[in-house]
Amino acid sequence: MNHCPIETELVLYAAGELPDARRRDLQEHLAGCDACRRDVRSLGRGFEALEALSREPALRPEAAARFERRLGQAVTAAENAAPARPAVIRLAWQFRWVAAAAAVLVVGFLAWRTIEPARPAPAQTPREVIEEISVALDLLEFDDQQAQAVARPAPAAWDDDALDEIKIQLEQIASEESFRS
Amino acid sequence: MSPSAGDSEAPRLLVARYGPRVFGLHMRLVGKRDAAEDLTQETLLRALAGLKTYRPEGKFQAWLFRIAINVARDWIRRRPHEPASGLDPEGEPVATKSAVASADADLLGRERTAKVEQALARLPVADREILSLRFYGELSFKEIARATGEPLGTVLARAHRALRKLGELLPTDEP
Repeated sequence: MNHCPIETELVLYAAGELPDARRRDLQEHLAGCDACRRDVRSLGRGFEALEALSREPALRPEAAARFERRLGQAVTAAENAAPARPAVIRLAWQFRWVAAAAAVLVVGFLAWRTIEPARPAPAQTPREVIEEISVALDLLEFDDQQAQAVARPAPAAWDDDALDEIKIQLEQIASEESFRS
Repeated sequence: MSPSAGDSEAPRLLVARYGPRVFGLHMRLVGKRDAAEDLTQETLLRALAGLKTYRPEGKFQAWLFRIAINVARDWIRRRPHEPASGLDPEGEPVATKSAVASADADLLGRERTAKVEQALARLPVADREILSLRFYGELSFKEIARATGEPLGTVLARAHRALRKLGELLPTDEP
């Protein structure tokens, strides 16, 4: 670094706020530049002069007390100005921790139900198995009857001739039976 | 640690921890003890009100001193004909009025302290703002640029000029 840095950079250097890399470059330059070195020393003396002042000048006790009192009043006024909550909300607010705990329990229960692995059904007694099979068979039988009822064509209307014919046949069967016996 | 809005101790903490420094800044900028006290109270009140929305993204002190500068600027703007000299009209150096200042003065010399105060008082308000924020707020130059709303280059150029003037007050070891 041969050219002189701008004065603002010297302020940052004197204040210790220059980034490391830049600071090293500037130090190299300062080693060979009287003018910049004098400038930096002058800035350093300026910072040093400031230290002649008290950084925390004492407040008069009455002023400090007045500040505290005034700030305290401002806090109270802000609290009083806060809108009052309705009774229900106030009550809910009082029990907010109970409500929060209940909410956590509900969420936890739902999560547990969701992620719980399928469990094997409990073992049935022989009687339960038989009852279950019986019910299943009844259902199957019922279904079969329904299916047959649907498949079978509706019987034609009975006429008198057909009934007579059936009677005749039944009488023949009966006579043959009695003959055999 | 900065005070928080819900902290019932906030008023006491603000006054005890930051009151003297804020007062020092205002004293340096307006030069009148009564006015500096009023401005300190106004700064702390505004800070207290702002604590509700304050987000600790940077230094609390930088935020507080930004409020202080705005409060002082408002005061100066309302009084265009009153010179904000930075010196107590009684003529007595401000720092030497306190016990702490007396201790400093013993160390560095009352004369030097008075000279520094007078030199500061002669600086333009904008330059005084920068040195006061640096000294009382202990802000970096970047934070000062943010607090004053000035470009960093402008702040550094002013600081360069003001620091060199103050530096001339101290004896030099060079021929």
